[in-house]
Order: sequence, then C-alpha cells, then structure tokens
Amino acid sequence: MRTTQSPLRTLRFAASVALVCSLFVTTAVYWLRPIQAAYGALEYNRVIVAAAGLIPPDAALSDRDVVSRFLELETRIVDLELDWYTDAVDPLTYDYRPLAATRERPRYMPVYLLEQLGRLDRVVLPIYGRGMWSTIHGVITLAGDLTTVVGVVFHEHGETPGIGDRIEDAAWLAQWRGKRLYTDSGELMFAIGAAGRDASFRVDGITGATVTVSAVAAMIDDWFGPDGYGPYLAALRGGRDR
Amino acid sequence: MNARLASLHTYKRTVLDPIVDANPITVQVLGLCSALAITSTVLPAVIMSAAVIFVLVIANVTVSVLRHSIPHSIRLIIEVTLIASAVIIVDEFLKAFAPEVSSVLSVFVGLIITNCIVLARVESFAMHNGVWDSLLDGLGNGLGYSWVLISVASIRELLGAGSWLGYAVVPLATEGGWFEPNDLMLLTPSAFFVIGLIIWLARTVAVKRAHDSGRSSAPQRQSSKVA
Repeated sequence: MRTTQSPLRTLRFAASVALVCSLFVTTAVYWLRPIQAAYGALEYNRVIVAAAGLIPPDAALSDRDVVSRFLELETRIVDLELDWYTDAVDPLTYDYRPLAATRERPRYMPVYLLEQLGRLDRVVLPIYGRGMWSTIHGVITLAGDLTTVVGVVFHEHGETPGIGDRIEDAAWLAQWRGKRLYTDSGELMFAIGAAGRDASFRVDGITGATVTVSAVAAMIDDWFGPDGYGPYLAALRGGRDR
Repeated sequence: MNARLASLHTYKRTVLDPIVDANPITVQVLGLCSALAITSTVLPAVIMSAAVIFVLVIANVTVSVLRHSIPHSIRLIIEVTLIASAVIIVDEFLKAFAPEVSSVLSVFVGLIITNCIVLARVESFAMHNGVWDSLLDGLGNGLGYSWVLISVASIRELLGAGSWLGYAVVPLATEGGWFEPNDLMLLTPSAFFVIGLIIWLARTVAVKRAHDSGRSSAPQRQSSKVA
C-alpha cells in the first residue's frame, strides 16, 4: 500500500471525503424529509382519532381508515387571544408544532370536535410543555360538559426512560378518566398530587418523576387557565353559538 | 483447474467463509450488541440484517476503491466517515419507508456505525483487496450476521409469542389453543441463552468439519473481541 504523508494532501483528501459524504447525506435527507413529515402527520392524526375514542389506542388501523376517521372530527382553530374560533388560518394545514419548539406561545391552536346526535360529545385539545429533557406533547379529551376528562395521552416526549416516561403508563393515565378540571363555578381546580383535595379533582403523582409530573401539572395550569383554553371552554359551556 | 475456475472458487469462498467457518457472530463474536437487542421478533431482525448488509457492502466497496489514495495516518477516521454516511442514509430511508420498524430499531440502526463487524471488514479486508472481492466479502459477512440474527429472532418470536414474522404459527392458550408462550423469550436475557446455544452449535459443527477434513485446528480461535 502506498502511503502518502504530505499533510496538505492528507487535508485535501479528508476535506473531499467530507464534502462528498455530506452531499450524499444531505441529498438523502432532502428527498426523504417530506415523506417522513407526511408520516408524522398521519401518526398525529392517529393520536387524535384514538383520543376522540373513535378507535382503541392500539388498534391496527390502515392509514386510509385513520384519515377517514379523522375526517369525521370537526377541526376548528381557536384564537387564544380572542378566545373563540377563527378562520384566520386553514385548520387542515395549520401546524402549531414548529412553535412548540420555541418559547413563543401560539395564538392559534387546533381543536377537534366530535358531535353525536347534534350535540357536542367530545373535544380533543392538544397541549404541550417543557418536560425534563424536551417538549412533552399530549392531548386531552373532554366530555360534552367540557370539564370531565375522558382521556389523556402524552404521545411525544423525551422523558427519562423508566422514570419520567411513566407518564405513558396505562394505569396512571387511567386515573385521569372521569376526573374534572373545573368546579361548577368554572374555577380550575384539577391538580396532580395535591393530597387531601377532593378525589374528583386530582390524580396521584409519580414517585421519582417529580420534574416530569410538575411539567405536566404546569401544562394543565397553563392550557386550561385564562391564557389557554380556559375562557374558550367557558364560553362554549355558556352556550355561545358555534 | 484453469484460472477462471480458480477465481470462481475464490469468490465462492469469499462469500461462504464468513457465513459458516468465519462467521462474525458465532466464530469472531462480533456485533453481539445489536444481535442481543433487536431479536425479540423477526421483522426488525430482517430489516436490521438488510441494513447491515447494505452498509457492509457500500463501506467495503468505497474503501476498496479509495484504498490506494487514503492517507495512512487518517485511514480509520475516513473509514468511519464513509460507514457513518451509509448508516445515516439507511436510517433516513427506514424513517421514511418503514417508520414502525424504525422506531422499534431506534438507536440500533445508528449504532451500526460502531458495529465491530463493519469496521473490521473495512480495515482488515477492503483496505487490502480489490473492489469485487470486497463487495463479496461485505455480502458474505452481512449474510453471516443475518442468518444468526434471524435464527435467534425466529426462536424467540416462536417461543415467546407463538408467531413468526407476525403470523400466528401455533394456537395460543389465550385464544383457545394449547401453546403457552414464554414471556422470558421476549426479554433480553433469552437472547443470551439463544445466541449462546447457536454459537455452541455452530462451533461444534465447525470442529467436526475441521476434524473430518483433517485440519488440525478448528477456526474458533480467530479473535474474541466483543462488540
């Protein structure tokens, strides 16, 4: 084997290998990103459809079925400043998730409404917040009374495996079912931990996962308080015409 | 034997040797990390095998093409760069076209970069051999890795879930059949047992073959780095 020791030649060789390799990698990523993004959108739709109770969470549903079930839901955009629906952005193409990576609060959030027999039966509300290591994304489904929790799921997070990722535990999530966020007078009462509080307004924390659980608690306070969905839900509860 | 036949024979050996006599897992005990981690069911093992074969062939071929111009002082980092590029491309492809499997394989696709088998073949074979031979060597080692991986996964999925590649093979007790699946088979420790048994079997066969063909030493003493 011929060995070439000139430092300049070595540098030139290293630079050209790096350049060619990065070209290949960049090209692959450039062409494949849209396909990956489409898959990401489909997975998100699957989460929403499962949260709305249209399919069991682990059902093996074809992609086409997921989309058709998703279209059974009414997707509306809520303007969190005006606390009501808006047509300012297109509900089918709007994506709040790029904003979730920044600290900026989005003005618009999508909500997914399921009607049964002409009455509002379920509302699926996306939420997110800063967890231990990265952003926690979840959705909460409320019943037609807009205060009783039907279900909650955290579908995207980077919490510590074995500790914080217990927010995915079915048993823990099952505690949320039937709990109430608001009192009859519309005050946000729900809390995690909060021993001594009326059981219908609380779920247990997770031992060892204090940071993650506090993050989830902060998400609930944020998103269902006055700066989040709170006033919108109050207006909807009050019978404001959709 | 004429030259053409002789070279055909060498090609065959280049591909077949790493499948049995110099198998990267059973004989050289390389690449165990992924072999233990992703063999609870067959599908991820098949995809992982395809990914490793692809990376091995690409890395071997490119290093072989460049072998005369790679400066000796930076050859390892050049090799790793080439391997890493191939792995990233495979990973992106899986994320786009097989996202479920990709999430099962998680970091283990990325860890092909550090799989000893790839670097070992590139450094010890492709740096010193022609392009065609390197391609065959990559293929052979990839296949040698694959059959062990898929065998382990088949045993684990069959005993642990009563299915193969997701298709039910034996009727489960929970569904009115007779087969009581062994959950341990789906957990990591069982991978140790199963790989251990396969290595034992493969070496017994190798010793017997060596003995029958009159060779004095069986090929099990080549190297024993654990990856």
